[in-house]
Amino acid sequence: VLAGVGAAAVCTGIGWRCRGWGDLSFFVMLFLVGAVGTALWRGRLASAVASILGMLCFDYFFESPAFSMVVENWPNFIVFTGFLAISQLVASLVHQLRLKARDAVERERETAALHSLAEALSAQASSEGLRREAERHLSALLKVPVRILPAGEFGIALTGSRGPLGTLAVEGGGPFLEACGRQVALALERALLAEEAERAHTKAELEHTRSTLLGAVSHDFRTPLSTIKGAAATLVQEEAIRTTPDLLDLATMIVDESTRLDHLVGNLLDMMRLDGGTLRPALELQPLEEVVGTVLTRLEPRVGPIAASLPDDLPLVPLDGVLVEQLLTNLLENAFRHGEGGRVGLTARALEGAVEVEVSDQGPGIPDGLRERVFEKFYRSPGASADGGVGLGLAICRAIVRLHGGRIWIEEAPGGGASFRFTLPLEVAP
Amino acid sequence: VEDDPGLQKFLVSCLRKQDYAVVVAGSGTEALALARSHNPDLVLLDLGLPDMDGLQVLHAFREWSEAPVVILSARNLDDQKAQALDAGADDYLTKPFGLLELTARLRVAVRHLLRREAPGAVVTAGDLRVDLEARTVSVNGEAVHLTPLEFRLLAALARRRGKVVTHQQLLTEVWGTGQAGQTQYLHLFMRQLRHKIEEDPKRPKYFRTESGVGYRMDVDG
Repeated sequence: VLAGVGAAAVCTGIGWRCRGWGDLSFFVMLFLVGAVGTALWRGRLASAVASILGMLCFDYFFESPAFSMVVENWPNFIVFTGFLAISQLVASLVHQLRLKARDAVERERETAALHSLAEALSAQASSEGLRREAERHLSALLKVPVRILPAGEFGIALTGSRGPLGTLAVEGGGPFLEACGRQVALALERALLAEEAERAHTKAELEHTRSTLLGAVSHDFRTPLSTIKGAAATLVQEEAIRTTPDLLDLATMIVDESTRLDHLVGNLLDMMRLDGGTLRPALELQPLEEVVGTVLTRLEPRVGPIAASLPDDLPLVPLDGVLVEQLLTNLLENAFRHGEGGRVGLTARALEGAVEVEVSDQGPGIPDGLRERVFEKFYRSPGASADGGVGLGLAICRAIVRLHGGRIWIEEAPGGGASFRFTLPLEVAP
Repeated sequence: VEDDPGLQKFLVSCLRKQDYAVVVAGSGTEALALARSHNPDLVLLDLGLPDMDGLQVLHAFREWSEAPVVILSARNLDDQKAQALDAGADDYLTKPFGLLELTARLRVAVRHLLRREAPGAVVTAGDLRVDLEARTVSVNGEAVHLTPLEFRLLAALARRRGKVVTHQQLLTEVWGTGQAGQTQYLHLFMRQLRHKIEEDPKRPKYFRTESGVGYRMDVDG
């Protein structure tokens, strides 16, 4: 209203200064510009005030007789009415234009806000992180605290395709908040579905490991056990046998099978330890020769000669003696098992930043397609006889090499046979 | 000292057959009480006991007895083995162990017990002859020249021939204190020693590696 009064006063003032050299149409235009300008500047009410007051001032000051409300020429009534009608028509058009512009700006802002919300949410993988991000983002956007509560609370319901997911607890409502709610619900559903799939996958994997383990344990553990039990029971029950040479055979059986059982249990325990992620290798800088020496003295009397050659200038390697000993033992035993009586070799050479060790045999070798698979847990080669293990030996090898930051792979040995190679890096990432 | 009844029975029958006089304890408390009343010449101690840590038993026993203690421990517990040896145990056996292994270790322990009264200046193993007083070493009659540090390392192992000497014990004895954790020196000097003495350092006869624990000089060579 004040703006309208002010506009009328300004127009009257200008008109008063110029009253000497203008006729009626000049003053009509002057007040029309004032009224329309007010409409643009302050809206419809101010413009209405400006045009009515303007018209009255015009009548009072400029229409003859001046300083009176009397209208001398009656056609001037038409001028006044036309002035009022036009100023109000223009004012309402301008007003609508203003509203539309404001709407467009508002819509654009909301679209941008929804877009940035979607972007922020898509960066979150877990449903928990997504909840936090949605709360943070919306609180900052709306400048009021926003919380995401379980479904059924008071607020905007977050509904997914398979039912309610939660509630967007915020003061107020309206289409924009609803749209935000839909956006959050969509993202939340995506995250929840992904998590569910992940859980199902892990569970399936665990189930698979468990069933293979169960199969392995029930078969591989019970075979030696039944031999031990049978042999021992014979010794206890059959008196005659205790005096015959069979006694030695039975006792030997018991010893052999117990050893095998012990080996199996040991492998299982090692795998669990290595798999659990809790094992920190006790890395000590030492010559590879020392570990090789322990393995050779322990293994050769049992399995036969090993063609070992180590260059004299091998650098010291940071390694866990116990683990690498086991790694070499597993690889060498494996080589003897599959080497068909051929030469088993153990060599090492210095590479840039690492030492590479090779264990080779002269057996049938390993076909290309299986060279990765043999390192999997519980994997057993198709022709494996019952005297083999549970299929953990090479899996343990891989776990040990990885703990040292190296890698293990298989190549074809020159002249046939398998060549197992692994690297031990000289610098170990902490 | 063993809490598992099966293993206890097996050990007792084996040891009695070899003319050892055996006293059995099934717990740490019982072990310490029986040790006081019987004053054993040799203790076979399982580290996993129901009432207290086997290491505690060892510490308590070591306060008043010098008798050899052979530890029985589960597999893969190298830290525990090293701790027990550092705490004064003489040797260890990893379960499951064979009878031959057990009696061999006990024989070494007993020999130590006897030798403790008359420490010899000359230690021999196979073709290796070490004179601890004259500080000379020979293999197959041929003199081997060692640096002072190498000789100290060799002497530390020779004095406790047949027994495991831990990394820590060797570091303290050969290099003095303040070298804890510097095992790479130890590995390096051991390598040099083997190259000078062993016929084939890749297949050491005299100096065995007990991975993660220490070294042992073999009795027979």
